Amino acid sequence: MSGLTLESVDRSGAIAEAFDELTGGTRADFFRKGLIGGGAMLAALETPALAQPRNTKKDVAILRFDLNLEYLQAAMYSEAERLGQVRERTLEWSRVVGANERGHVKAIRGLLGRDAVPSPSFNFRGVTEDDRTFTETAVAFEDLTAALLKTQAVQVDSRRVLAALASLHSVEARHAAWIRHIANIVPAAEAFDQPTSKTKVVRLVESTNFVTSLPRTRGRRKPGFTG
Amino acid sequence: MSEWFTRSRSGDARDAVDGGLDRLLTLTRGQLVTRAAVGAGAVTAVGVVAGGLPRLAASEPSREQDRSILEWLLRVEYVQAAFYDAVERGGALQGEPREYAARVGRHERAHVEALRSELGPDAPERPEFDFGDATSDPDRFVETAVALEELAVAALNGQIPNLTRPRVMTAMRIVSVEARHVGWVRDLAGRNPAPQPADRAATQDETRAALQATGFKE
Amino acid sequence: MRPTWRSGFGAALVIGGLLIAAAVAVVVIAAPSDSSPADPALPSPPRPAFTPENVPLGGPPVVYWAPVLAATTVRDRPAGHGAMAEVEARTPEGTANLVLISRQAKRAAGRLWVRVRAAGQPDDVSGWVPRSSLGGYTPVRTRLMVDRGRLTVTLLRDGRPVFRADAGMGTPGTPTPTGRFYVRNKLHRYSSPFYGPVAFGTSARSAAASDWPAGGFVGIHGTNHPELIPGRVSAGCIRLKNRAILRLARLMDVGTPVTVR
Repeated sequence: MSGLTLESVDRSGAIAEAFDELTGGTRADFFRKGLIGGGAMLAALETPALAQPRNTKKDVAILRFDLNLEYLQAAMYSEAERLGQVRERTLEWSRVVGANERGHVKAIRGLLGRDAVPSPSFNFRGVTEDDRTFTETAVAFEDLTAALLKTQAVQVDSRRVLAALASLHSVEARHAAWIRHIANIVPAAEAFDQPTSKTKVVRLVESTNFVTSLPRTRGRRKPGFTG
Repeated sequence: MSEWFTRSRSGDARDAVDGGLDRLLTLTRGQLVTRAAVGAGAVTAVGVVAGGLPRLAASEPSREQDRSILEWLLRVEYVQAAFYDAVERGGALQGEPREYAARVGRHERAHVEALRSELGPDAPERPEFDFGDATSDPDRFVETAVALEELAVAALNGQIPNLTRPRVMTAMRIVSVEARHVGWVRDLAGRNPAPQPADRAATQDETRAALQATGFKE
Repeated sequence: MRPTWRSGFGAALVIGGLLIAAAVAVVVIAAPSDSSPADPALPSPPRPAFTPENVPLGGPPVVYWAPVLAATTVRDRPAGHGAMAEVEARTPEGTANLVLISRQAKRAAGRLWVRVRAAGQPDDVSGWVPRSSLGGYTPVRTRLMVDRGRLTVTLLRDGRPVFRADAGMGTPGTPTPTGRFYVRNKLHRYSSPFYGPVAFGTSARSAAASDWPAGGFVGIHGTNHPELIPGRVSAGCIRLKNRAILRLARLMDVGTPVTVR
């Protein structure tokens, strides 16, 4: 199981505060829902915090938002790869892009160190098992992630973080073009891609209902087994 | 000389230190961080004495530097626009490569126009290029398109962190589309569109070398 | 501060200053030499704050489990009419009921159906439920092997044994059922020495317990009679000594498939 728990990273309530900041205080549930531990499959991606210059509060907030988005994509593509129900080209895309996104998760967690947040829990509601809904959803997420990174690039305080976000941004655009190509949609529709806001990303995530709470599988009731 | 010292002390000293000195010294990033160490100039002096030459700390974004950067990026866009124009004039491609060239050519022309309009009347003019049979042979076309688009992504990523923030947005909106071009044409070519989780940022020298390696003479 | 000529330190400072000036001059001269007048030397980009590497999934295949969100019928085919079993949203212990995921999905009658394994008799049944009746999928890498002949339980992780213990199992009259099952819940902090400190609920039903109040499910739990272990002593449950069940509780989680031979 993941060693990073909400308790260990949010002693001062700073995370909860940061999420209010991120989501304008209105849809705080988005990130809070899954923060009850979880992320077991991502335990393997934990790295010790690297020696880094301190990230500013603004950069931490931006990186945490990105981390949550990467958690979602990594989990979705990993599940699609493992379940193997999508078509061959989609499966190959999930494998390659999933490896990229899992790499992003690990790298952003490394940069955040103790400021990292644990992964939400997800219910992908069949999207990882159905080719059409998977490709539609992947197109939406890759397009929107690339759009968000533009806005964040202009906002980050550190130029080194900007360089890192830029290096991810063009890769997300590759992902977007590739999955569009697989889905027979034009990979590059416009000469200039649009930026987007955190609000629009939160709206997309909420519309999927992917973020869920962990089911209760532990109990304190006296067992009624046959003995 | 004093100007060089001043530049290292003021502004984004962290970047000056990280960009130059940590290539010379084996200090950990943590040790390089403290502004106190940098501000005193002591670290810079030690860097010189250690036998290495510090990089010119001229990377602080500025409107003047933006101009130089945009002129450079315009050169990269010129090559691409000229390539796709030559391909369309040649009319030798069929099917999806033809469709790709037409659409992407429109984008590259738009990129050229946008950069020229930012630079105003003193913008450099478009050079002439000779692309040989890369514009007519379908396999050579696809390989060349991959090379040019990869080159553009790396060149843009190399300069984005050096731009002032308004120009960062402009360049991000362009590199995003270049990266889509790469993803598309690599899939067309049967190559992995996203072999690495992060794209390289090329220096000006690296981009120049890559341009020369294409063999397209002006 | 102007260097003084009088002290050795001052001289060193001047020499140092000259060296630095020379160094700067060399740097300027050593700038890329083939730049045309139209291409002023542009700075390198700052080093990115991180450099990710690809992370392949790798490892042996995992088993997924999912909670049941809404009571539903497990059918013989997607949108089929044959009912294999009913699954409730809750176990008799009040926890979320689980099914194992069999990695088959099909659209039928306008919905997505998925193949699952659920509690049944004599052992797990396999059939189809609407995807919407289930929650999110969680992977498990462990598997429990129960050997009625040797009276042992062995936990495998990624296919390798990581735990083994002697066990008490069902008497010949009330045997532990054989076949494929899975762990559905983990109970603790109840007060009942009979079950020891931790009890796992499984999808296995004791054959001889059709009118058992709580469904007659088989558990894996501790005991207040360790002297009986190993032995054929229970009404179907698998009993471990308390130290062993506590160790198992640290290694095994819900959703773990259980094979009883």
